[in-house]
This record gives sequence, C-alpha cells and structure tokens, in this order.
Amino acid sequence: MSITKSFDLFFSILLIFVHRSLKIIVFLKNVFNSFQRKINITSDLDNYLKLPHHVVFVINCHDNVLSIDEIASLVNWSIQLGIENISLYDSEGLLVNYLSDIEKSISNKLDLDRQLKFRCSQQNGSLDSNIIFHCEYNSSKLRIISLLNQKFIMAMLLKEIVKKRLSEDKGKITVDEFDQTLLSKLDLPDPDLSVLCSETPCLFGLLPWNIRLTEIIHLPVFGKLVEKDFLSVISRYSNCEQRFGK
Amino acid sequence: MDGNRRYAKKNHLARSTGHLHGFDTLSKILGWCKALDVKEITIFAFSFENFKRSQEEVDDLMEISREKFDLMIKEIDKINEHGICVRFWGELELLPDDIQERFTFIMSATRDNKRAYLNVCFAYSSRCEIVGAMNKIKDEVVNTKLKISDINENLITDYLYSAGSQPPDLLIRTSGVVRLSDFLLWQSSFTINAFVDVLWPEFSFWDLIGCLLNYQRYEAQVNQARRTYLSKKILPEKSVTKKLPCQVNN
Repeated sequence: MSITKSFDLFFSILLIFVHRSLKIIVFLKNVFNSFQRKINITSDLDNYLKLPHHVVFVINCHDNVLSIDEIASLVNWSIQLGIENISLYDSEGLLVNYLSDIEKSISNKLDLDRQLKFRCSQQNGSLDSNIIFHCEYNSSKLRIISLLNQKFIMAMLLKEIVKKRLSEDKGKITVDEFDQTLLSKLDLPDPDLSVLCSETPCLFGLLPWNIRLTEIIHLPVFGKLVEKDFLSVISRYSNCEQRFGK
Repeated sequence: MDGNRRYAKKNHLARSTGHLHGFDTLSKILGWCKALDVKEITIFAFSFENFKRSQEEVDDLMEISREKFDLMIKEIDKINEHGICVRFWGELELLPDDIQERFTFIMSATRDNKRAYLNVCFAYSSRCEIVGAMNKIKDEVVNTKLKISDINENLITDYLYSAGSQPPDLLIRTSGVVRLSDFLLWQSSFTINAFVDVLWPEFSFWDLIGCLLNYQRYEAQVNQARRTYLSKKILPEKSVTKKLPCQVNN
C-alpha cells in the first residue's frame, strides 16, 4: 500500500472517529440542556419581553422527530400564548396528506366540541402552487403552507407586473412595491420566528422573500416534547435584538 | 462579518480598529478555505442597510475598504496565479466613485479566472438583488429580447448576481445572531446554516472546522430534501392538486 493511500485511510478513520465523538458530545449536551430547561424555564408570560407576531414551524418529515400529536401541541401552546399567526411548513407537502389528523389532534388539544376545519385558498386564480390551508381560532390564524412554492409565485407576479408595465407604466419595480403586491396576493405576513423542528439546521425552501429578518431557532427535541421545550424557544426569541443594519 | 463593533467594545478598542481586525480575519479565513479547497466563497462585507449607520462610521468603513482593496490590487498577479475570480455584488453605484473604480479594476483583471471564486457583497441586500433581476428581465421584455411567457423562477435565478454559481452549501453567521439579515435569501433555500456565538474578529480555524463538521453531518439529508423538492416542482401542476385530501373545503 502506498504512503498516500495509508494517509487517506488514516484520515478517513480519523474523520469517522471525530463524527462519532461529536454525536456523543451533542447527545450529552442535549441531556444537560434538557435538565436545565426543566429548572430554568418558567411558564410566566411576564418573563417574555416580546412575542412573535408570526411563527412558522419548519417540520422535517424525514427526521420523524415529531408526531402529529406533538405538532398539534406546538400549535396549541402558540395559541395559548396569544400568537396571532401560526404556520406549519414542510418542503414536500407531506403535512397536507395528514391534514385531517392534524385537524383532529389540534381540536382535541383545544378541547373543542366541533372539529377545526382548514379551508383551502388559492388567492391567485388557477395557480396550483399557491395553496394555503387556513383556519381561525380565537385571535390566532393557523396556516399550513407546505404546498406554497413562493419562487414560482414571485415569477407569476413578475409576469403580471411586466404585462402592466408594457401597457401603462414604464417605471422601475421597487422592493416596497413588490413586497406589497406579494402581501396582498398571499395575505402572509413576514415570519418573526421560524422554529426548526429537527436537528438539521436548514430552512428547506421556506418563504425566501419573507425570511429577511426571521429569527431561526431550533426546537430542542430530546425525549418527549414538553411545553418548556417550546417556551425555551420563545424565551430565546424574546432576547433577540434586531438592529436593522445600524 | 458580524461582531466587529462588539469586539472593539469588549477589548476597549476604537470602532474602526474592530473593523480593521475584521478585515484581517477575512484574509485568514480566505487562506484556510483555499487550503481546504473550497471553490467558492461569498462574504457579506457591507449591507445596504449599513448606510443607516453614522456618517463617521460609514466613512471609516470606506477608508478601510480603500486600504484593503488597494492591497488586493497590489497582489493582483498573485490572485491571478491562484486562478481566483473576484466579483463584487450589490448596489455598487451608491458607493464613492474611487471605490467603484477599484472594484471595476479588480473584477476585470480577474474575470477570466476559473479555479476559485470570491464574491464580495458590498452595499448588498438580497431583496434589492431579486428586484434588480426582475427589473433586468422587465427591460429585456420591453426590448423584445425576452417574451413574457419566458418568465419563470429559473429565469429570475439566471438574472441574479449569482447567475452561474452553485447555491451555497454552508452559510456561517457569527456573533450569536440567528437570522439571515437579507443575505442570499433566494440562493440559500437548501443551505446548511451555522450560527456561531463567536464574534467575527475572533473566528478561529477551529470554529471553521466546527462549522464544516456540522455541514458534513447534515449534508446528505439536506441534499436529499433538495432533490425531492425539485422533483416535486417539475411534476405537472395538476398532479400536485390530486394530492389534496378530499375533505378539504374550498
């Protein structure tokens, strides 16, 4: 075996060793943090300086970290906190396949006599990639935005704007104008907080236009999901400071 | 490149010294990335929003930029020897003329290099980039070089500053901030984000290794999700509708 091959083999084994060790360190850190959360996090609302106006839960269906029941719990806790806009997202549209289970589970958590029903809306005529499922409960608006392909919608909007520009106005498209047009089409405010519901630190294609100032925080999933896990995310969000470039 | 001012405050230094140390960290990181054979690096040096800072601080930053980019111009032969293509992305027309001239010189001197790419985002915001691409497309339609029916998301991608580049695999944000702050929003849909607590001037080789290990942990899973997402998109639109459960009320 040549020296180069021996070196390659040595470094491959070293890399595997490093990754295994990293896995163990992460596991131990999760155990420690989980205990710490149970002690430090309180359910007292006064401890949270600010609440998000719009929270999106980014579900990674391949991780199998959360059950439908736990997703419903997240929605329920968000409603109890009084968050106005609560959205669920996954990049493959799988949540939509479990829509009736989600409805049932959320209704059970909220102790409702009549089951919640998500309505399907296509604000932009015949666009099939512009589907948002939504329903209201008290002052909260719940949405499932898994089938929303925002880049596709932005391209469709550009078509409409260019058509108008050809016949009427020759001026430049501005950021504010496009932002307003998109908002009026989708009725979807910018999320203040996106909660990654798996270990994977990725947004999986979530709303590219709207995530400019969105805080991206992991839900610490270790063992059974409890309310303090969710509140630790809100607590972290509450301490985030926005500087807007200044 | 976030945390220069907090670093200066923490170490009782002048604000401009903090920015200067930030630029030094950048050259160290570029050296490490070259040694690790990273093909393309994009750095967020100055945001469009940073113009809101005090005139004094903006002037300081411009002065440091002049100094550092002059150094780059001095070493242009070395850059060409390594085959590095340097590009500047952002609303460059808002910058002082002499800085624009430096950028134009560096870009034209290195534009034929293909071994590695360094993209410097200066006076940059992702929303401006996206709307800028839309305006270019609109002008092409007005000049009949494109038809309205040609417009789709891939066309927008082709008119961004990053046209021709691969989407970033890893995005590192320093100083404990956990948001993208208008950086590569369109391009980073399936990027692995590494939010690290360390301030930018204190970012070490081991911090970089930590980010790369994190990237290696999740790379396969994110790539799989990206492939599934793209294959879902090329399905005819009707088949997406068929997946909807029948109990949904319209």
